[in-house]
Amino acid sequence: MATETYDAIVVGSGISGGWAAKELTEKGLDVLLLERGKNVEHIKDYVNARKAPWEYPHRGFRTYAMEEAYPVLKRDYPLNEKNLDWWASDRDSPYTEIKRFDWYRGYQVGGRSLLWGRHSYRLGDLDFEANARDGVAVDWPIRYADIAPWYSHVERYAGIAGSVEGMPQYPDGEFMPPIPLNCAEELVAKRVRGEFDGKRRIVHARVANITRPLPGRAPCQYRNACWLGCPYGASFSSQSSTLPAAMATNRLTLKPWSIVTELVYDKDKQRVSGVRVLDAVTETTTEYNSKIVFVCASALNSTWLLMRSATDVWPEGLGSSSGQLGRNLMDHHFRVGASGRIDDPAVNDKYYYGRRPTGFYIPRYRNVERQDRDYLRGFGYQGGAHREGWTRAVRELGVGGEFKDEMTRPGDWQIGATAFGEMLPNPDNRITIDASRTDKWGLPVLAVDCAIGENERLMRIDMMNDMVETFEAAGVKDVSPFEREYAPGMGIHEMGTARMGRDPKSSVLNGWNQVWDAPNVFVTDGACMTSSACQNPSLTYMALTARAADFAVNELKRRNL
Amino acid sequence: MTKKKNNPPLWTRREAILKTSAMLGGAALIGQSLMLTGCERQQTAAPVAEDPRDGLFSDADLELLDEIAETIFPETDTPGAKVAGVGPFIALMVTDTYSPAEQAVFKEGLATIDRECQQAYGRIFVELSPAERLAIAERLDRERFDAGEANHYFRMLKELTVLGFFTSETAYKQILDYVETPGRYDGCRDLSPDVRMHAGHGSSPLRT
Repeated sequence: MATETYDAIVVGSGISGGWAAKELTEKGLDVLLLERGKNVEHIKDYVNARKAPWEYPHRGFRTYAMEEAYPVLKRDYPLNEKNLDWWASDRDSPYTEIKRFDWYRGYQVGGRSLLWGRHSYRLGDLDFEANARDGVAVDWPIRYADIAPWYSHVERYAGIAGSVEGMPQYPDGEFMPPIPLNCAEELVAKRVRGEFDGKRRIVHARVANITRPLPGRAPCQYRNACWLGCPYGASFSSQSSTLPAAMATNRLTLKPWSIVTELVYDKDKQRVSGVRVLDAVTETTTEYNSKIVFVCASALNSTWLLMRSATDVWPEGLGSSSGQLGRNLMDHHFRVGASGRIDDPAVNDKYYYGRRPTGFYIPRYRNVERQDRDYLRGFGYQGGAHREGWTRAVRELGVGGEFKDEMTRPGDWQIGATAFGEMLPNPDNRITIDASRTDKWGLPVLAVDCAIGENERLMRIDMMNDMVETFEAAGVKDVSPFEREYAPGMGIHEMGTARMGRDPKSSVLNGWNQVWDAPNVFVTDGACMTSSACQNPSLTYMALTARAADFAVNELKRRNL
Repeated sequence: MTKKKNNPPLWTRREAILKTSAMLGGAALIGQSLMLTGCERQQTAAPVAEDPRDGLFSDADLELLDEIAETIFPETDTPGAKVAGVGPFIALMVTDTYSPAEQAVFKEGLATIDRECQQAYGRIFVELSPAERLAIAERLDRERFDAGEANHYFRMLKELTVLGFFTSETAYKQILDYVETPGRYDGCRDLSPDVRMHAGHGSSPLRT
């Protein structure tokens, strides 16, 4: 049988792969999109989207049997009864934890675009210049001006709800009307702005939930059930947004259950000629050829694939000539912040209607105008206010009819926020292949060795104390700090391990996301990040992917690839 | 990412669980090993009992659970725990989500309740009058309240009663403000007496 040939192959159908498929097909390429897991069809396969909350036997909670089956996933919220089908099996896909690393994966068409939190923030020059300014790791090969038009491009198509703030460290973009703050949040936001001279600011979270219709998509219906699949397509996912566009070109071939085991490297041409694919169900192997390959399998999986490729030339894999492949693994460290109670005549008789899919954001304000803290970089906060509900009934003393009736009334206003902090790139935080174990499909697994360092520990002190200070200044009552155990990976913002840079001796990818050692291979997901910034990273993957796709198509036209 | 609590969406997503734990009485929801690391459970396989009768509980136990739940949350102008199916829900949750140690505490607790009723009234719980049941429940609630965050059996009973009641179809339809598709968000609505308490999608902390 002749090997099928495409113009481009995209590995992975999540946020980055969906964008690669859309951009490349729309620019006229025939694209094969390979996804290791099952297919999930938009709306049709959102089996729980309309299920009533009381219909889950355990009302969403995890059982013993689930904990048995998911030894990693159970470490945080993802293990639950409602959308477990979209989280990858820990048993089928084990990995080695040299230090604890929580790896929560989504192996299906759409990947974690079905599961993400949808916060969408641009990085700015404060971030792109950071490594050079601080003498940390290597310089990003791009600046804000290089990516700004691509942020606009993806924001317009994905649909980002948010507010324009005019803060240099928090670049504005192309926004739909924001998802509203409630009146308690408005009250605190106004006071914070006054108390901190506009430098600390509670703003509308910028999220990929549309508030105006887009073709084929209805605006947010305020059900707050995005993670069950949005039947309105209001929440951005590959299914709701990028895949329909790619399919509409008739140039997309989507193959689920296709595990790419290696990129086939042609030594003579110094290019990749295609990919080798293992059928996850039948376990048969097929090769596909293409002119270019976009690797968008999620940070660790993309690098894992590079490590398995071209090992006859480079024992540690394609892209390893710099010695940086697998290194500089990052996440966002979080689970620290503060909460308190709002008691104010302006809002005590106010409430809300509808279920928002998000809350507020506080953009980074530390080390912005000058480096003046004892750590580098900074953090932002995500939070919200609401009136306490029935769960207070457990804590409080009381039983009986009167108590029950009291508990069916809304409680006090509460407000809280959690910081998300930047994690510095560190070459010792790395992934390697553990040849002593294999996964269900016989692939040697990854070993992860990653920990936060002194910079992050120092930052966490501010992350906690600042939130107390901010809330107290705004008149929030009974403010209490919290800090809970954080292990790398819990942020589900894995970044790095195949960083972009300016020099093939110290980076895996160039400024166009091309692998230095095989320029027809592009890695555009979280693996490419040279530093982590503190903003949620997915929007940056979208923009880098669209930018790289545009570059790749132009290079093909010029016959440079 | 946005944090989940009872109804509102507002905290960051991961925050949710622990925050919720705090709300559900100051510690993790019993049976939900959410705080992990180093506290893996010993049991190898979980009994799964879609029908609680296949699990740990006798018919008499189920009757007792129903009556305790109804005492904690009785029918008033609105339906009570029994109508909301809380007794069977408690049995299911203890069977499917509690560790053997927690199950033992829970089961022993049920026996303790009947022992205390015998001592006080010479009859078991289900034979008491509503007023007597309430007096016992109040005493046990005070006891667990004073015990703080310990895994007191009455905290288990109360927690599962509250959870089972407010996540029931009865509560969603007759007590809470739950519209499957609200279609809009109003962040500043007057809280008049006829406004019901907001129900998140799932009111369970696991908002997903």
